[in-house]
Amino acid sequence: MNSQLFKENLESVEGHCVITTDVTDALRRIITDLRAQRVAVSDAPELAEFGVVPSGTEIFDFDVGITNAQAAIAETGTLVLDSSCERNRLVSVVPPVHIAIVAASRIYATLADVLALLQSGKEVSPAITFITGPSRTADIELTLTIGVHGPKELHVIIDEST
Amino acid sequence: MNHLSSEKFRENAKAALADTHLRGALKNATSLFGERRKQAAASLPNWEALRTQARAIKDEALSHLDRYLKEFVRNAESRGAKVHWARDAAEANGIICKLAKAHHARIIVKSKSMTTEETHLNAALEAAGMQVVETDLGEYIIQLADEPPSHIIAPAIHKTRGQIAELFTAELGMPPTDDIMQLTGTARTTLRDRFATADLGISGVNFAIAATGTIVIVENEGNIRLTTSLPRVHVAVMGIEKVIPRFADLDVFLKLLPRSGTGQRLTTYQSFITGTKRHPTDEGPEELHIVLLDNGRSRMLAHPVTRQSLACIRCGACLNACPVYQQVGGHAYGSVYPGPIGAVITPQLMGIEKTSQLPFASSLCGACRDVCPVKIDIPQLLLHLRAEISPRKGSAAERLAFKLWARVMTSPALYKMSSVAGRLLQKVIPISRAWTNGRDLRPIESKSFHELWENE
Repeated sequence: MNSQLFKENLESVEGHCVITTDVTDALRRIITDLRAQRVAVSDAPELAEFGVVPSGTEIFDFDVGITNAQAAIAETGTLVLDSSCERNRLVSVVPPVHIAIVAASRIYATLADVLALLQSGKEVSPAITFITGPSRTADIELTLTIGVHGPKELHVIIDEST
Repeated sequence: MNHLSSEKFRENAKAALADTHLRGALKNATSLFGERRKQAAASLPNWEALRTQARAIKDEALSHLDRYLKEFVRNAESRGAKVHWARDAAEANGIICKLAKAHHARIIVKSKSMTTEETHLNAALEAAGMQVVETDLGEYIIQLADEPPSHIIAPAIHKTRGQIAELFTAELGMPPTDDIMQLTGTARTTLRDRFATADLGISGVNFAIAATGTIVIVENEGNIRLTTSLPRVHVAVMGIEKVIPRFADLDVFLKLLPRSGTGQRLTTYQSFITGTKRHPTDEGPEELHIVLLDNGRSRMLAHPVTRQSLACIRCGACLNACPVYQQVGGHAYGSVYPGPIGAVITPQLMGIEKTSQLPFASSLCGACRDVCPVKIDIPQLLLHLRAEISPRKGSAAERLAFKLWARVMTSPALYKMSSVAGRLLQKVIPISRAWTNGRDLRPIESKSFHELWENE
């Protein structure tokens, strides 16, 4: 139920979402559809087969960045990325496309649930990022424009296999 | 620089009112933001309760600000941040210039921060020989145009796409276009280069969590994420009033702020930054400096009436709701913070001598109070400031008139006589032009309510 609500809310802010039990297949499809030449991944071991871990400002030369999301919020369609779990800070913001994978079991109902979770640990992570849809601006004549500094496209794969 | 002065609000407002172009843009923007805010607030069944709760949290934080600030500093520093206290704007700018010099910074990227607008940080850094690049699209546009922001959350609200295209053609050599996607794309490409080469990143702060030492920054564009991730050094500048006690308090504020500001359920990104990276090979800056700015805030805090001004979360809703702002826009206020909250904060930050017209830039209709997510009683504050100004500033004739008025209103006999006198006099004496310039005066009825009542 949380998966479906998450998907609806993410789509309402121009994000894309698939719910699947076969993450590898879903990931390959998206990469193929995008005709991506250079794919960057975080240092999560299960992502290594899909791309390379960039170092430094190399990241500016990639078309796609793939990371996991450590949690998500159904009521807003929000991803939660924790920098203490993987190298996700630049891979999720610099390339024009961000693909994120989140386990269905890690989708919480509300913002309050996730905030409670974040402070329950002994140590707060140095950088936690909430992401709700692709980068946007309305600074010119209040016209919504997608993809200003961050990704122009956001794809979320919800893993229902676990 | 195109800086207007608060001392000339009336003249500035007159000029703004004659600018049909500006008024069209303001009407579009304020009505759109207002409508979106209304819908977003209606989407939550407990909006009123949330406002009350938010204000209670702010009141608690402000009444024990010393304790919460100490807790925040202890927790931020124990996780690797370095905290600097700045008494005023000059001290804050001095600290940041010194840091920039120590790191041999040549290019500095900045994300949107009203607090650094308040301290005029860019001018200080540029005077010290550094190149400062604003990276929020709206801020970037007004930086290229050499203008101050005209709205708290939409700094370039007063500019049309045509004007922006001309600016980009002149400053960036872009071929002329009025396509917004292309304009945005050009800014993206130009600024990426700056992000990649910047030595230092400067950001503002929306909330600071005492219990964890975390700073929280909200945005839509992604430039804050880049500013706080790429350069080796991150400097975050915050007013001392930004601290809130607990992480869980964010639930209320993250619901209220985006809905009140842009009508969004949540802005695209929230960055929660707690200290520096734990391992040298991790991503992110090596150093985090947090500058805590007073600049008149502790003076506001000390007074029981003005203290509530510090609860402001800078959403901009009161600007959009204000019939004065809607007509004259942000520049007329001649101050960094425009609109109703600007008319309250600016005189307290800068002193009422140079800003004495601002508390009068309001009809006291109360629309600002009704939309404020933290229930700041702006009309009450405006009246309080007016009362401070009036004894010094009012003309002798005005003081005499009000003294007479008070005398007449407190005596039934004089009051009765005045209504008869008024009825007769209005036929022979032209009423004060200052009053009738902007509105019609209704003729006084031939019988007053008192007379009708007595005859019944």
